[in-house]
Amino acid sequence: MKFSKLLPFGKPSQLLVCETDGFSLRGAVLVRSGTQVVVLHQAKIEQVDMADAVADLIAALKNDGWNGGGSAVLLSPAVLSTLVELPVNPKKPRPIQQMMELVRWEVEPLLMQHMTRWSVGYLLVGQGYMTEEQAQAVMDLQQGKPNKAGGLALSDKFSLRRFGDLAEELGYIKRSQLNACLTGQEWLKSDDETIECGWAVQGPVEDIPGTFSWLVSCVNKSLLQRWIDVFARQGVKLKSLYPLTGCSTTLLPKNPSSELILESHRGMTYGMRLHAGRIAEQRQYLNVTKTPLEICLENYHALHGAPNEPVWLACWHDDAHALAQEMRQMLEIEVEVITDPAIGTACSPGMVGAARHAFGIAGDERCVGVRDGGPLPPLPQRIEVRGAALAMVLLLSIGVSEVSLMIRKNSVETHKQDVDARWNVVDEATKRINAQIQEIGKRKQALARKKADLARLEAMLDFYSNAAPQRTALVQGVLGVLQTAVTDEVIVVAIDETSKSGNTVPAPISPSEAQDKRVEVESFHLDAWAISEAAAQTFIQKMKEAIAPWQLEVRDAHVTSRPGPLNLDGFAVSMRLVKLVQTDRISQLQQKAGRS
Amino acid sequence: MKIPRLNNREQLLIALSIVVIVGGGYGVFRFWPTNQAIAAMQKSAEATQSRLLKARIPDEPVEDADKLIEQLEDRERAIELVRAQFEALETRLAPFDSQEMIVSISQLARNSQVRIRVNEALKVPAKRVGVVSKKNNKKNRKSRTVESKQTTPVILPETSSWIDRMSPGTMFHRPIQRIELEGSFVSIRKFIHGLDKLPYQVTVLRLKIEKLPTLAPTGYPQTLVCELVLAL
Repeated sequence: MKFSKLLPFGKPSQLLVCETDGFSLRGAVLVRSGTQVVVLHQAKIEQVDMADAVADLIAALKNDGWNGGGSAVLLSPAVLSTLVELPVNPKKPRPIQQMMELVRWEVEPLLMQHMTRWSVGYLLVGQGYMTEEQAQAVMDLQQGKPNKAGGLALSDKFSLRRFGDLAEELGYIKRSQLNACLTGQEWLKSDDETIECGWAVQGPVEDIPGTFSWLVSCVNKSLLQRWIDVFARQGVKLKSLYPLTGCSTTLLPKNPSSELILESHRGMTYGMRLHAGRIAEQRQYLNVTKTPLEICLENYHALHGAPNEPVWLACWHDDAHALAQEMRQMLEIEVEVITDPAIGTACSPGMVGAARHAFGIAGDERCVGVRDGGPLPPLPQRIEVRGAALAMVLLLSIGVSEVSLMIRKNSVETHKQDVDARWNVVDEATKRINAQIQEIGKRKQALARKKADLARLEAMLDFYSNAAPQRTALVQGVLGVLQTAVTDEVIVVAIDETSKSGNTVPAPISPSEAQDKRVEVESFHLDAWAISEAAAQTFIQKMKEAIAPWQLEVRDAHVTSRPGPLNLDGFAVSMRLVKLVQTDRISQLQQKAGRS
Repeated sequence: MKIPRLNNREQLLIALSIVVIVGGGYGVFRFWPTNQAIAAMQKSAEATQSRLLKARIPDEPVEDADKLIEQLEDRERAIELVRAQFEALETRLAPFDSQEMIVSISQLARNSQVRIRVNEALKVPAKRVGVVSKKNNKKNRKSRTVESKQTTPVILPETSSWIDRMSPGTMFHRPIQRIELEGSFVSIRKFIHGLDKLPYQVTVLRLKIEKLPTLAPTGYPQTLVCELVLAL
């Protein structure tokens, strides 16, 4: 099974199939339905001018409900279908242009010979406007031969005259009949030498190695272009031109054995031998004067049909089964009529076969159409396929790149979100702890401030309630001591508080005092005069005893001989009354003061 | 549309051109900016991770904030208690510039039979504690060090003189009055004892008593000169 059958890319789902015999045009709109085709609309136009016929046909189909547009194929007797032998192996195909030249070289004489069929005389006889004898008489007159019509006397008169004119003058035909044939002739032959071809390989030629039999369809390019233009004017794209004969073979199933097919047209029979599904031989028999049975029998004998060889019959007229019955009786062989549900009055077996070929249902090898510009190259060599492949590659590359970017972006985003979340946790914890530390620091500072305020208040309270009254009491006490210690032998000259500083410590006198770590906080300098040295020493002794309750000590006591009042001999007494405290206490108080 | 017939070379050139244009356009306008954005995001994530590895969460404080608040409240209550005591004591301190107190001292001198020779306010220079703060000023290196003195009440040690300890700038600052008296020892002593009975507290900061050079007549007490510095 071919892939193209599963997925019929590029194959239309609806197709207009037309067929002409040169004097009429019939058409059917076919649609693909699985492996079958179904007729949607059909019409038949009797018109010799094909431009008008196509317009009328499409109008009739539209009247029948067809929307128009789309693609079309045409079966025409102007297209030659023949077998040629070419030294081309289908497994090693030649380039299209080279193959085209080879085919043209082979089919050009055959096409010229094919076009001779479309002479005015043939057409007039074929249409029954005149008999074959009349046509022969006209030709004899043209060539100066003796004839029934008038002998040599007339030959001088009618020589070098046109066939139609001569036949009209002789009274064989009417002018209208001639004009109809001339108009129909324009759509069957062309003077153009350019040929468009299509081909399909059939099989190797047995007696010539390296040579293969090719089924070729060909037609003049100008004629093909004319048909394309006519259809284009009606908004329909004519895809291919098929030969009138041979397309019905696509209706047959593939059979490995040999079989014969006879196509019966009016005045013509087309015979083929299929071997293993391939066309092995074909013959065309023309005779408008004979009956279809006679022509078929002659063609059958020309094909040398074997008794056991199946014979298929395709008829372009209504009496197919009667003809088959007659052939069975005459030949005593089995003759099968090719049937298809789509075949009808306006849809011939050839039209259905061409539709199956165009839809891609049937194999490519049994039927060949001719398209403008020649056959399509193999898929890999078609520019649109290459363009599509390039676009696919680009899209795929971009897609891969996009997927790669997306994966990387997602990965990085996930990683970043994870890291950010962890960082946020750490950051929030740090901020929370720092806020706690800061809050506790603030509270500690507030606590320290409160402590300092408390210490300051306590210091002030202590100072004003204790230290200051004690100072006043000390002064009063010193005065009281002086009053009690002074005797009649002693005169106090002066008492003065020496200015002291925190760093000033009197020089020690004795080693024991040298070890004294106390400092002075109160110091009164006392000058006195005693009448005798004993009185002086007694005074010092009394002072020591009297000031002891006030935590005062006598320091630097000196007794020197010096005249006193009224120049009396006596002794000058000097001493310092000091209050000492431990340096530890001072430093404690100082620290307390410093903190506050 | 009819596709023109192109040979393989032309098709190849057109295909290459399309590939270059489309690929280049995609690369320049889509891939490169997106790749840059992804690289920037990656760099940011790595920087965050590096910070994360170096980050150190500080230790949680051992102190209990609530306990500190309780301590703060306890201290506040203690302050209020001491402040109440101090306010009661403060009523015994004379207001600054109290002429009433000076008048009382004069009356006490008259009652004590001493003669005031000098009664003046003693101007003592304020005691200051210099606080030197250094601030860095990047804009002007010449004025990097700025010294500022902040006046805060201080408590001088006991080794300092009483005048210094109660001078302006100290915590125990009071108005200081210098008085020179003439009188006998008994009257001077009476005057000093009388200071305790004044309506406000008076502290003797300095005491100096000298005998006048001239002798008192016989039977009369010797006249003394007394210099007192009082804190009112």
